Amino acid sequence: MQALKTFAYHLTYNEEDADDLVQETYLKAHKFIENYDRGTNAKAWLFKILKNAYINEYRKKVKRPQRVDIDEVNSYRDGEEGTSAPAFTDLRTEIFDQALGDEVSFALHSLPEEFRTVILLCDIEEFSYEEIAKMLELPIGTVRSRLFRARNMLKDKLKLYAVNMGYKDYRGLKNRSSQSTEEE
Amino acid sequence: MLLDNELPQEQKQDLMQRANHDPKIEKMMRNEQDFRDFYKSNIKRPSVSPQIQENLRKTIF
Repeated sequence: MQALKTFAYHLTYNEEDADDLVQETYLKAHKFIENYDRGTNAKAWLFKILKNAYINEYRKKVKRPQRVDIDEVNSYRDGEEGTSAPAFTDLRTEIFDQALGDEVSFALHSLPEEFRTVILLCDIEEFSYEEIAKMLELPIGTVRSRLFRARNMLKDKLKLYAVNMGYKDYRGLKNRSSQSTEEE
Repeated sequence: MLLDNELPQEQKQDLMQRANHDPKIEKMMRNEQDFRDFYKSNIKRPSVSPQIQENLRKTIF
């Protein structure tokens, strides 16, 4: 459950939404348990349910126009709000800004979703390329290339922070060396 | 691919041998592993709310 929450949180940027997604995942899994192939990776099955719930329901939900109280709009227009905080502050952005104290999460969240997802599934949850390919319904080659690009993006985002933490960037060695590396 | 444990056995052995003889490759691999360990251990992992856990326990079990 903890792993699902971590995945959901880094997709939605919001703890409450992540909790809802985890709950929905378990309820769906319970409802459609007959669709689970015994002997296959149950964790991967749950992650796929969560990912689909996120794509099919959560993303649609957040794309819907926000409802605004007409009285609030009128009072704002009439100047009754004075100089208080704007009524249209995006609560999601506010929560996100407050929740992210750590650089790693911030860097991860700045990656495009398709790249963030492969990092989460491969490096954080240690799924195999094959499992990720099935989950995301992508060819294995695409998973591999996305991972390569995602890690490089993450390195760029975290470079300064990592250097401050005592890590060094050795990627230049790859270009200087004629030897092949693990990414070949 | 080596660090993801996705390299075929033969290529894995070949690369490991080369790494053992070339400090640059060995160092690159170690740094790549360090980097992955770094973000894996520093990523935020919020816990599931007790209320959700309780709801699920009541609904499913």
